[in-house]
Amino acid sequence: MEKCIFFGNLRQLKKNRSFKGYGRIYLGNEFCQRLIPAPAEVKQAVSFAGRRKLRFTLVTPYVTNAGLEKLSAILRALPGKSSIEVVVNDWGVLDLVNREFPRLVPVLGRLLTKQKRSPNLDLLLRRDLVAPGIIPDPNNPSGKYLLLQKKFPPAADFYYQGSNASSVPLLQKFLLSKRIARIELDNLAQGMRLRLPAEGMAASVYLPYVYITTTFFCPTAAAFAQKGCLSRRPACRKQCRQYSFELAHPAFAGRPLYLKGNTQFYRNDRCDRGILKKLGINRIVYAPDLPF
Amino acid sequence: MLKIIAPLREKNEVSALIEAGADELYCGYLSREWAKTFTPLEFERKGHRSNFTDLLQLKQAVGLAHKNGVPVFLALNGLYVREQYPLLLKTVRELEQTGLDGYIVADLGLLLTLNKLGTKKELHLSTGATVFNSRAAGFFRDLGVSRIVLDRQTDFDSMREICRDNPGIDFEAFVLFTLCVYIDGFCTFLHAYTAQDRQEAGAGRRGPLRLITTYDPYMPMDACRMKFRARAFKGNRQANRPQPVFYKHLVDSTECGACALYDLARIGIKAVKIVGRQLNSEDRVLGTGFIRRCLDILRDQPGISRRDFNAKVQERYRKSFAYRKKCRGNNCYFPEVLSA
Repeated sequence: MEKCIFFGNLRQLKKNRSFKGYGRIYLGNEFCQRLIPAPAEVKQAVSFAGRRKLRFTLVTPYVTNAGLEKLSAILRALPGKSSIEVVVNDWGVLDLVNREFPRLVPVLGRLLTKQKRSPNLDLLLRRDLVAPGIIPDPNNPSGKYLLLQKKFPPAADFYYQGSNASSVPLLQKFLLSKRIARIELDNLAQGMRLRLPAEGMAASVYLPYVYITTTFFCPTAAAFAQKGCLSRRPACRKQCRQYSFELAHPAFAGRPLYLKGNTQFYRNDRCDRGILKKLGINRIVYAPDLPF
Repeated sequence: MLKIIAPLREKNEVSALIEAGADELYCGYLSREWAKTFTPLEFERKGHRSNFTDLLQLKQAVGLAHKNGVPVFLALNGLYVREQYPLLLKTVRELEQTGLDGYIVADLGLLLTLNKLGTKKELHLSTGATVFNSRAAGFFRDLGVSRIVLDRQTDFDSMREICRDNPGIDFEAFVLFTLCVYIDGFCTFLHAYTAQDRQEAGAGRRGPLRLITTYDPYMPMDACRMKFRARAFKGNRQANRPQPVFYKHLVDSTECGACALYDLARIGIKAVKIVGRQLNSEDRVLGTGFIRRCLDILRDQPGISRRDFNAKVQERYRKSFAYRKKCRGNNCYFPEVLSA
């Protein structure tokens, strides 16, 4: 099992003390084109990795045309090592890598692998929960919950634990034809089912943060917007570098969600490497911080 | 002139929607077999009650629309795993016999499958496929897609560039109802949360009774509307402020982008979609008529100024949707046009 460590930027990478046990550095951002690093920063990160005999993966977000231009500049600046990977979370970026940078190795990012990540799916897929009805509120002796839980049918497990990229042969064949030989997955709380092709395609799993949703309209930047300003894209001063939020809601049965910048996550530390290996996962990508 | 694409849910709505001004219709279909086997939640992107459930009714609706010269497209815009394909293929084969004009798809696997099956129907790409740049549009054009529905969050500059760079494809934008703060195709929240208080849930109870969410297809509630309790952290330390602002929480009436009709046709967009298959029939007919009347202003007064167009549209909006306030951007798909 290959172990990798994921940083949002060069500053975080350089702050990290030990790379013991890791074979590869991931650097970049999946969710915001405003956080695409400068080409010089990426070149420094590649050198930093090289000096420590670590392989390098550049992580890229979904982008507009302006973001594509920024990425083009970075990809042009990357050295011509065949082991450099580019995680793509946008079909346009995949097209760019394949057409203009064939020396780089594209990897299908977790935004495009289409897992179902709703943070209460593990509860919904459990079969041992009580039937719909009124139950006491454990935190309030006089309170009660009306539980509307209905159990999913067993076949739903395939859907909620699987994904198209990790199971559909025609899609996998297509991805292979586009030089995608690795797909990136989250460590879902409800568990995972993978049906990878017998040869040619591998999978990675990200720990411990599972992404849930993302937006161009950044709730963090909006928190600092002028009152009454309802512009769809509030001015960004990269407040996400400093601030994060913990979001609580009874819907998620005590599991906090985390908002970092424009993206929400939940945390899942439960990970059985033996099971991951059996599933066909041969890489763990560990992000020490919420990925920004 | 922009085409209006209206949401259809039942056969008896076809005439009303066309009379209200729809140029095209779109709908969903959910078979009982699928609902029973895999839940009715995510065969396509809308829930249980947004779809035709009877193939014959669908076929008759398509026939009726065609008599009026109006095409019908079907949203097959869920994401599918391998175990679902036998039933998915069976459903597609049944749908092929209904006379539908095309499919709206989000899943790359399904798109490839439809191509492999040799469908002769038009293939439209749902917002679920997340096209935000010209290259991504070209990627899907090469896979036989003839129209792409751009995400709600696509700004005018991006729309203009994507349309300019891909002359072989038509582009469509959302214009009314159901504004969402998140990116459709990247949001993985399950849209089956229940209402959060007894009034919304219709329980009508008093007292210390709280609903906790869970899966109830008869009360779908979007997670994006949830009111979270938020704690801010600066670095690792808890901070008193700020609070994150979730755009959709600010919406206080019908979500609308009608003022942007002025720009959309000029940008190169070919069609505008009225979202909301889950809404009741009256609202969908009302919405279709509203957008038609707004487009009529542009047809009848091609030289109208942006300011005058905004004023007329906003006046119609207030009348149509009983909104008493001044438009201030919170219900708006394209708030930037309010200050244009």
